[in-house]
Amino acid sequence: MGEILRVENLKKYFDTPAGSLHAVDDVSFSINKGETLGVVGESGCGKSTLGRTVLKLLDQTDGRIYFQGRDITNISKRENRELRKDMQIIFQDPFSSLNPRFCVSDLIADPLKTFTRMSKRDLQEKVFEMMDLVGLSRRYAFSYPHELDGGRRQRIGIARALILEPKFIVCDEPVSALDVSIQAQILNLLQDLQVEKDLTYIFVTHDLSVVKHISTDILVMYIGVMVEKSKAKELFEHPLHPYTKGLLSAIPVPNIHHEKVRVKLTGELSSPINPPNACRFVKRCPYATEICRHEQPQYEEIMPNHFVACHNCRKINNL
Amino acid sequence: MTRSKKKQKDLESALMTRKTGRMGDIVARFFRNKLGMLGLTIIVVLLILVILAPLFTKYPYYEQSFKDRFVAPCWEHPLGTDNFGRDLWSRMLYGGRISLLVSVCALLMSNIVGIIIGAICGYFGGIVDNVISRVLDVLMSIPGMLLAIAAAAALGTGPVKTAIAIAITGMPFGARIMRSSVLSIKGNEFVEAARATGSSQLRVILKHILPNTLAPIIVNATMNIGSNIMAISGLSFVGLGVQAPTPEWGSILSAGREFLRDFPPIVIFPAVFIGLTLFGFNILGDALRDALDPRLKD
Repeated sequence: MGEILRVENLKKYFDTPAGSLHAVDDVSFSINKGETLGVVGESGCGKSTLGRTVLKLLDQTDGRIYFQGRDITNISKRENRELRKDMQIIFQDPFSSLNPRFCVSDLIADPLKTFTRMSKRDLQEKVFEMMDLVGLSRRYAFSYPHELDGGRRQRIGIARALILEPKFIVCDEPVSALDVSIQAQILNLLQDLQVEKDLTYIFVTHDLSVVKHISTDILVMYIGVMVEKSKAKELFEHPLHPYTKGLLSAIPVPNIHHEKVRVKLTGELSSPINPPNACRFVKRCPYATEICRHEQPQYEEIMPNHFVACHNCRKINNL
Repeated sequence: MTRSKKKQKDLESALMTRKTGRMGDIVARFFRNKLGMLGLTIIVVLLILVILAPLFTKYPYYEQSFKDRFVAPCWEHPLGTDNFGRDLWSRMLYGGRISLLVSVCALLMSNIVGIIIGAICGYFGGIVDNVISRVLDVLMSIPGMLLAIAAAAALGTGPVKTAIAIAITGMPFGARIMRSSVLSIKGNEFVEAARATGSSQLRVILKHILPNTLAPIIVNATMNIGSNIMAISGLSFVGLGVQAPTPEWGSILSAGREFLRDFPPIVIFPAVFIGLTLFGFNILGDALRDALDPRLKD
């Protein structure tokens, strides 16, 4: 269970006409082989950008990325291409992530065609193997994506990501565009594949119940910064950051006798463009104090393996 | 054992399907389109008539006969004769050679160059796009005819040179359409997916973006056939297209305009030929567009 990926102080800024947009700001974490890191946060908090930067699909502004012990922060184009065999991505929207002019076989075989020269027979055999693996009936081999439903389309996306036999996959909200019943199927499929192929996932989502189901560790992001990270179970049982508390209390509980204690978050997201040196959550935090307005909180290990970025964390939680 | 046999069978049948492949699908879809077949027939018949013109005509296109001026369509002269007593049927068939050749060549050149330039602009964006787009804006701001005349004057006369002159006027429009299509397709996740799975930029453009951008390009291209034919006559009028007595549909049409009131056939027939060509290419283009898109299967 060695470490497969380590990210240190990763930053990704975008230049916009209004200023520098801090999509990912000083994020650090590491993932062990075979584990899943769930990344949660609301829309626009930089989750997807984080995933793409880690994969080197976007160039980082600053920070370091180590994959299997190797520094991949500044790799050449050629090395980046080789890296594709080890790192893959599953996309959110199964409708726009598949080329409408390709049939299922071509879609799944496409990555292999860019890397190898295989005979048509071997290619087709491999495609069938992948289709069996992701539970896609062989009779769809020559269907086009518009003829299939969302769940099947997403299975194509998964097969495409797996055909190069990667070790590490970023799942960018892979189930948020699907019906709930299909969501469960796809999540189970992803979990089965993880065990079978010894895969490591970064699972980006805004759906907390999904992340609870699948993650080993959970990283909570808020406007580009990480606010809390711990083991999944620990996070759900003892959320320490006020933002995490708010998020968790918003999960509906299917029990009419359950009395809800809502931690309501008021106000709106502050802008990620040229953020001031303050806690990013200060405008919505019910516990905000003077220091929160003048200083960005450090990221601390409050409890073993439980990291929080909050000035008043100990006070709020009576630690 | 039976299970692996079944898998073997699946594979064999898939490979059989594979053999005809995507190209086969497209061809099959194309030939199933009735309207498209009509278009193809029109174009093929026109081409046969035009290429084998000597077989279908009795008179040379340049033979004048003053006693036979303005003869109405009859057995001897199927489409009648013009103001110099030249057989219109002969002039139509021989004229088609220049009209079709030059307009189709111009169309191909302008669209191929337009597609390449537009794809570069749309895909790479930034400064490259800005520079090229401004040059295209300049070209588009000059009236088409004027630009063609300038180009033809610089290049000289002859079918190929005329075609180039006309292609230059059409190119910016093709490039603009291509650029906007590429911009809209580029944002799709499947383009990012192709990059994430290791496709080179050229492969992304050729295999993932280009096939998805062809629909508006094809429509624009087929619409241009008619205006290209008229552009040739415009160039001929100022002495930069084809030289008299070489016939050409656009010129026959514009030369006949003064006789419109007294002898309509001299205008009607070239218009019919131009119209048929335009119509033929148009529905052929539509059929091609539909055949290339698997979403419009039946």
